[in-house]
Amino acid sequence: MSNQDKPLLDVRDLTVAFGAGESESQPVRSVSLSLGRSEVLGVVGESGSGKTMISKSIMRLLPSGGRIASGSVWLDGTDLTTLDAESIRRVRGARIGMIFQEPMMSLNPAMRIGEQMVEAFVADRRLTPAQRQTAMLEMLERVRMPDPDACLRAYPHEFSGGMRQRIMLATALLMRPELLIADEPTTALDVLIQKDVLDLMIELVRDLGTSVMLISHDLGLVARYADRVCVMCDGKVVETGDVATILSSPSEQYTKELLQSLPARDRGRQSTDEIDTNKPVMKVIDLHVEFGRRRLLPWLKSRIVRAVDGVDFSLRRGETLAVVGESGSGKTTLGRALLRLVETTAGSVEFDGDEISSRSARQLRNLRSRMQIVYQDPFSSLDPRMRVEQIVAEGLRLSSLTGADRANRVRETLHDVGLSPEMARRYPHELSGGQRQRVSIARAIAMRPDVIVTDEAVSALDVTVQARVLTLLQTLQERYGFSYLFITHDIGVVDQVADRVLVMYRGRVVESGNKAEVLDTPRHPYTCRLLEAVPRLEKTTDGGFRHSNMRFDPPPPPDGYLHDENFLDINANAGVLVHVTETHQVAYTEAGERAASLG
Amino acid sequence: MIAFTIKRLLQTVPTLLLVAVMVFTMIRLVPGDPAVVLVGDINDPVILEEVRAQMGLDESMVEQFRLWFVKVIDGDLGVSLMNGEEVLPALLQRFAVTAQVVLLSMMFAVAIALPTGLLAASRHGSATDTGIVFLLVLSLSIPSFWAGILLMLVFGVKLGWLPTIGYVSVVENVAAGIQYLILPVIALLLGEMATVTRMMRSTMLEVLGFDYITHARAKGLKESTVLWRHAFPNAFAPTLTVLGLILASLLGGAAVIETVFTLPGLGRFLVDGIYARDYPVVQGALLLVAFIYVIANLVVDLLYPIFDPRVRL
Repeated sequence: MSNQDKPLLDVRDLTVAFGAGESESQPVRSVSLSLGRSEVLGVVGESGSGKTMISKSIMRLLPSGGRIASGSVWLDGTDLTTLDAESIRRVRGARIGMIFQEPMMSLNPAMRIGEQMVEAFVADRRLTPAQRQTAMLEMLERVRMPDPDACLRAYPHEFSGGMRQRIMLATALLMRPELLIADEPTTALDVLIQKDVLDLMIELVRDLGTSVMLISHDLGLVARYADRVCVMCDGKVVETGDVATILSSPSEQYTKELLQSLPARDRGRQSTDEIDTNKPVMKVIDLHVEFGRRRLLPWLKSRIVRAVDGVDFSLRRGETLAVVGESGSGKTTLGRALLRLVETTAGSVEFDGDEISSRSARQLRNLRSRMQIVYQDPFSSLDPRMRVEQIVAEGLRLSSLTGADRANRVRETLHDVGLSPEMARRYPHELSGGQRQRVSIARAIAMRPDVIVTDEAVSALDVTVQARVLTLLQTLQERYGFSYLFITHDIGVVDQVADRVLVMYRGRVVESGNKAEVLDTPRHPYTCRLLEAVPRLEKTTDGGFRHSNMRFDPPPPPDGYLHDENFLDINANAGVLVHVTETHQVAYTEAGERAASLG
Repeated sequence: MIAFTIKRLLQTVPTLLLVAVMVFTMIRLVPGDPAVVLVGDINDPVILEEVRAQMGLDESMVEQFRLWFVKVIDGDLGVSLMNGEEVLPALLQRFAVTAQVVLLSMMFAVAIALPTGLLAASRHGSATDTGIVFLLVLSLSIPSFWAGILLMLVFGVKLGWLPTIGYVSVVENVAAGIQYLILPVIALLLGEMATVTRMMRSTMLEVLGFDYITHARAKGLKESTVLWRHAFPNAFAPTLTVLGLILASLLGGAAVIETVFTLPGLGRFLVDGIYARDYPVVQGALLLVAFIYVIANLVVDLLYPIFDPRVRL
């Protein structure tokens, strides 16, 4: 069949424009790409590269003000750009399915799952309600939703992000569309869940013969799942080709840059020898943070969440300690508890030999300038009404510096973080995301603190910007000797910046040790799964990259202990931390206890 | 849900208690004495004292409150100082008049406002939207009493289609009753309609930007289905809160409109009571108003989960 040779989707010379005349912008410029039958095409690009606009113009769902200025989109011989409203509606859902990024926002909160799913049959009137019901149940079964019957009757808020994304997938595939557009389908999810959902998606589309356009900012992820990849930058296609080829020998400069920006071990520091191990700047002993209410009346249930549940660690001068964990692991709470931004329930925090967890707010004030924090979101963490220089100088008001000295310090600090002096007069909204994060960093380092907590400080940034900010943080550390508590969910970033790593799960530390110990020879089952789930690219000897699927088999536990396999079980007893080397600690279950609980 | 309702109703008890105390003391802080108003021109201290004693005003404030409050708990709001009328039946009768006007105007206002807001939002930035917004601003800027007077002039005086002032109960004479209601309902409706439309338009605009709307479109649904089935319920939930507030405040007395059209409603009753320092009437009326507020908000809260299942009672 000659029809089979032709691509299913053929985008030719597509230009998308917003506005008109002087103010016209073109987020997509002369883009051509094609997608074969049963093929998975990855579209990779940083924010603003126009990748989402392409998917929206294929569906003809551009936001208001946007229009297809020129070009055509052929789906199996039909130009979608010329269809009238009624005809394009028949293509949507039936022939092209779509999955969105934010599973919390892409299902209608006011409608039951069943009501929303059944709408997918809008184009197909042949099926009876009973047949529809069967088809929906079958599809929910295939995406491995537990209890599909109950699922149809439930509302979206009753499900977790991963479950919602499975429901989305089931809805999109219900009509067996020829093409599935998945726009950053798992960006909002934790790594383990991301892997579950994507594995499932790929398995299903292979089975159904659906072609997939997988849009993502994550080159590693695309490398794992796509057949071909299309790299976009600034509204244009930079390079298209086979995944392996693009990774091993990219021909365009931008692709090379993108690959080089990926966090990688060899650019990070290897040794921790120079760090003074005797004098921890911060020491945390059995820290507990609980949220929620204790029961006020005897018949009410108490709702207590143990966000941090018995954490011990010390942070040495000049080192970077990475705290890794999924959402809900308590890593953010831990960071805030160190600075007393949340109150601790029990345990102690020593700063420079001083116990601070019981200090009054007044006594803390002086210490605060020695402990700083950089937040994740550079948009909401800066006061929009303050100029950059005011933001950076604000903390200096507590110091003994004179006005002139302060101004000098601000200038110097801005220079340190790589911002030009004229930026000082700007407001946050006049800066890009990367620049704003530099301002956040400048604000933190202006007082020359001892400890800086960075809470997902680079997570919201594009890869190339992220790489520059990470380098900046390392340079500043070398210059001023800060200790970083580096909170992140991104293993790649940990690999690049950390000296030591603390892996958290549900408020507890499950494994900690030097970077190499934890990342290369993980021993806790959770750490292993986490590391396996992260899509990773590794450098090949000839300077290119290739996708690596890692498998970790933890070595047998020390005598008298068992692997903490039931860490997923919320009711199971927590493992005990055991030193497997002088620096490497792993949570194990005590053998006697397991036997006791089984007996 | 039943537990929630009971809890909320129990919560109203301290609220009403507080209102009772405040109303009772505040009205007595206002200069003026109901006895003086009643006695009028007769300048005789003896008669004045007698009247005061009859009214129970010679007791201490605490004692007065105790006497009043014990009766209130019994469901007896006392009698008007002016004409000896039982306060509770009088209030309910007046409230019925206000409720007719307010509920009718609210019904029509909502019926017009919801589709209008939806239309404006779905055509955001178009001439239709601009036109609707212009009309909204216009009707919000017209005070209801002025609209009332204008309506009276045009339809009552010039055209002679409708009666201008007065009130006939619908129970007594349906046709005449309706005729008397039309103008006040319209006068009241303009402002409500504009507020609700504006609210609906802005929440709708927000909702239309959400992914689940794009998702609904990506499923191949008709635009009208997307708007009414997916966007509307989500946009309506916040609007409902505003509706409850407007409704409560209007039911508590649309005094201005009632005055313009000389309707014997709750608002006017209250205002007259204040002028006459008719303590039992003012106290009773304000208690009723507070009660209406509480109930209206309770109804809104109970309706909320229908439109937003994330809210659990």
